[in-house]
This record gives sequence, structure tokens and C-alpha cells, in this order.
Amino acid sequence: MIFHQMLQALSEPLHYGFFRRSLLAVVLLAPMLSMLGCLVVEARMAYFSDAVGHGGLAGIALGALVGIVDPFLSLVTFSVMLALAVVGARRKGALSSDTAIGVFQAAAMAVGVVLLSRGGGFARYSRFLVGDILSIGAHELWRLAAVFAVFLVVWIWIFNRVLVASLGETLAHSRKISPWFTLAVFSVVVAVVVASTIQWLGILVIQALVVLPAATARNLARSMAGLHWIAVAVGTGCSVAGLFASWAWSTASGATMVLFCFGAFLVSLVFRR
Amino acid sequence: MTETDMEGPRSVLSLRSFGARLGGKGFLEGVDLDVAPGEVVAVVGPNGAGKSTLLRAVVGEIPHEGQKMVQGRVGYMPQRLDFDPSSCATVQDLFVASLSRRPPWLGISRSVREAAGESLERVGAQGLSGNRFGKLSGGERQRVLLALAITPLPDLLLMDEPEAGIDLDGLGLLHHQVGTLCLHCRMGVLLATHSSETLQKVAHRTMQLDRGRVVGLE
Repeated sequence: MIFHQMLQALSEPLHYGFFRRSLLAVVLLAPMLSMLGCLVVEARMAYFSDAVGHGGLAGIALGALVGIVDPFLSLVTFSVMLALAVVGARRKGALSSDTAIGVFQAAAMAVGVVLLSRGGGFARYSRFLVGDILSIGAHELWRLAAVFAVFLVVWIWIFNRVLVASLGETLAHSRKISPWFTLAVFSVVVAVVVASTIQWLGILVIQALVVLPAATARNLARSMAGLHWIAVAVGTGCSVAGLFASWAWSTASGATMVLFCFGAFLVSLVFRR
Repeated sequence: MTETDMEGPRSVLSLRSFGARLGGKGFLEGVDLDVAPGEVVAVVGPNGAGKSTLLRAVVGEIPHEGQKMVQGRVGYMPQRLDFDPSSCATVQDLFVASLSRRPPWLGISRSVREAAGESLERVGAQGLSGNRFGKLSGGERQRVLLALAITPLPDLLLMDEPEAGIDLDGLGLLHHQVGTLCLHCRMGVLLATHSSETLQKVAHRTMQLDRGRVVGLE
């Protein structure tokens, strides 16, 4: 009886087209962010991906200023520019890694808030802070699928290179890998993935969905393959569970997904290897 | 930057009027050096003398002046890896990342497994393949780094203070392994070191650097 009621509660939102679209979006978003998190954590770039997420606010603001209607384009363009600026500043040795990230993040956030709050209109953009995956349309879903497909190809190509480059610059050179080029490509990948998912999951929580599945998997995995697949399973499972729970509880989907991921992280601490 | 054939196949490394600059952190000038197959040349000098700058310029990480000729493949063994100890990357994962284009989460090819196994066995670390790199002892790490550097077998091996973090037994084993590689594989070795024991046990010649200049070659 209880099982039947649970099944009914789960299937009820599936009668709505917008929920089915958002479920498909989660199944695309979550594995992509989880895979990304594996190298973000390994290469110690969690702060960087966080900065790209927060800096996206400036992308939205500048897009609105120059009349770009679709926030996807302005978000991706600005985030890629932000990522390359950080890598450039690090390469020139002008700033240490975390300082470079902090400086550009702070500036981007300030630009975003100032531009969006002109005339008291900031409330219109608050959906970007918490995300709204239930509003995703068919066209945007296809676009997300395209981003996922390109991501997979680039990811397979770049994974080993990033891993070697993160171990040391001289070692990378001895393997004919340019660490700066690799870092730049990786940063652009992070920027594109984070920027293309922000409007659905929210600036405030996107970072958690990148880092938490990988952090959970790190507690359980014995190898990089284990890390990768456990992160994907945890990220996708918790995000889908979070989406259904957010429907049942009438809460923000992104934040609810994060809570489920955090729960999995706490459980993983018990079984930590 | 110029790279010219100069000495023919007799030397695996030839440097003439070789120099490099590493921002404000170090510089090197006027280095003339040949490393023959099977020869170990130790580079010694105080901190900041230019030992690491020399290795980094030979690898090609930083631009150089003068002439450089490298015959064949170069292997590089770093002093340590910039590695998070809590990472779950295994020794085998490091081999996969270094040798293969296929990420470890898509499966490991037999050729990579065999190459890793052979190199680990060569340095007496055959049981470490599945171990997390971050959990290894200092001596085990250095053996794994040596195994990585000699996969595939290089003609010239560059070693940056390989004694870092290992105990006396480990040091003895490392000396034995370097000696064996030179003898059996005819590998030329350029070795930056602070250790007088390493100098005595494995070095055929010693180049002394001080503030970026060669002050002795014997």
C-alpha cells in the first residue's frame, strides 16, 4: 500500500510535459557537472569554477545592456572571457592563482550587481541566483544535449592531459603537453559547462553540484575510474531525487538537489577509504 | 632558440654556450656539456645555482640561448609531484595519463598495463600498480616517478634531486637502479643533486654551478 502510494507520488509530476523536460535536463546536466567536478577537484580548481559561476552575473548584465535577449549567449561568452583572463593573469605571473581568481570574480560580481540593480530592477534577475529548471523549453533542452555531446568529446580528449599538467609543468613539457594551453582549454570547458547550466540550477548552488559528487566519490573510490563513475552515479541519482523532492516539497530544485548530494557526501564519510 | 646537430650520435645531449632565464627566479649562461650514452653527469651547486633551470631548459619548458642537441627521447623525473595526497589516482592511473590518450575511466589498454608493469618491475616496484600514489612512502614514490620517467625507455634521463624524501635504504636502491639503467640500457643521465653519496655512488662526472655559471667540470 505504502509502496503504491509512493509510486503514485513519483509518477504524478511525470504527467506534466514541463516536468518531463526538466527531468531530461537533469539527466544531462548532472553527469556533465559530476564529470567536470572530478578534474576540478583533482586539479584543485574548485575556487575557479565557483568564480566562473558567480562571475556569470556580469555576463547576464552585459548581455542585457547590449540587448542580447538570450542569456545563454552572454553567459557563455562572458564566462569564457573571464576564464581566459584568469589563466592569462596566472601565466604572466602577475598574480597568484587564488588572488587572480579572487580579483576577477570580485570585479565581475560587482559589475553584474551594479548593472542589474540600476533603477531597482534586480528582482527580475533573481531567478538566475536560484535557478529554474522547471521552465526549460524543448529548444533549450536540445541545446543542452548539444553542449553535453561536445563536452564528452572534448572531455575524452583533454582528461589525461589535464591530469598530467596538474602534476607539474616540467613533467608535462617532458610529455610534450603544453600545460598552459591545456589549462586554458580546461578553463574554457569549465566556463562553458557552468555558464550553460547556471540559469537552470542557479548561481548560488551550481558550484555545489560540481564539487559535491566528486568529493563524495573521493571518499569511496580506489582509482580514477572509480572516482569518475561513482561521481556520475551520485550526482545523477541525487539530482533526480532532488528534483522529485523539490516537486513534492515545493522548494527550489537546484538547492534541493544540492541537499541530496550533501546527504550522500555525509554518508560517504562513514565509508571513507 | 636554436637546435642544431653538432656532435653526431656519440652524445645524447650536447650543449654549447647554453643559457636560459627563468623570470626573476634564476638564470644560466655559458654551459658547454656533453652527456654520452651510459654516462651519469651530476649537476651540483647551492640553492639558486641554476640546477633546476638547466633541467627545465633542456626539457624545453623555458626558452634557451645557445645550442642544444638532444639525441632521442627525453625522460624527466621530478623531485616531487604537485600532488594532492587525498587524490584517489593510483600508480596505474598516472601511467595511463602519461602514456595513453584514452582516459582511465574508459578502460586501460593491455599495452599500457604491460608497459607500466615492465617499468615498475625494472625499479623494484611491481606490487604498487594498484596503490594510491598519495599513500606511498617517500622511497616508493621516487621509485614510481623513476618508473614513469623511463616509460618508454628514454635515451636521456633528467633527474631533479631524486633523493628528496627517501631514507638510506631507499637511496641505496635508487643508486643501484640508476647504475643498472645506465649499464644495461645505455641511458645518459643528467642528475641535479645535493647528495654527496649520490655523487660518489653513481656520477661519472660532476658539473658545478654557482649563480648560473659553470665553476667546475670534472
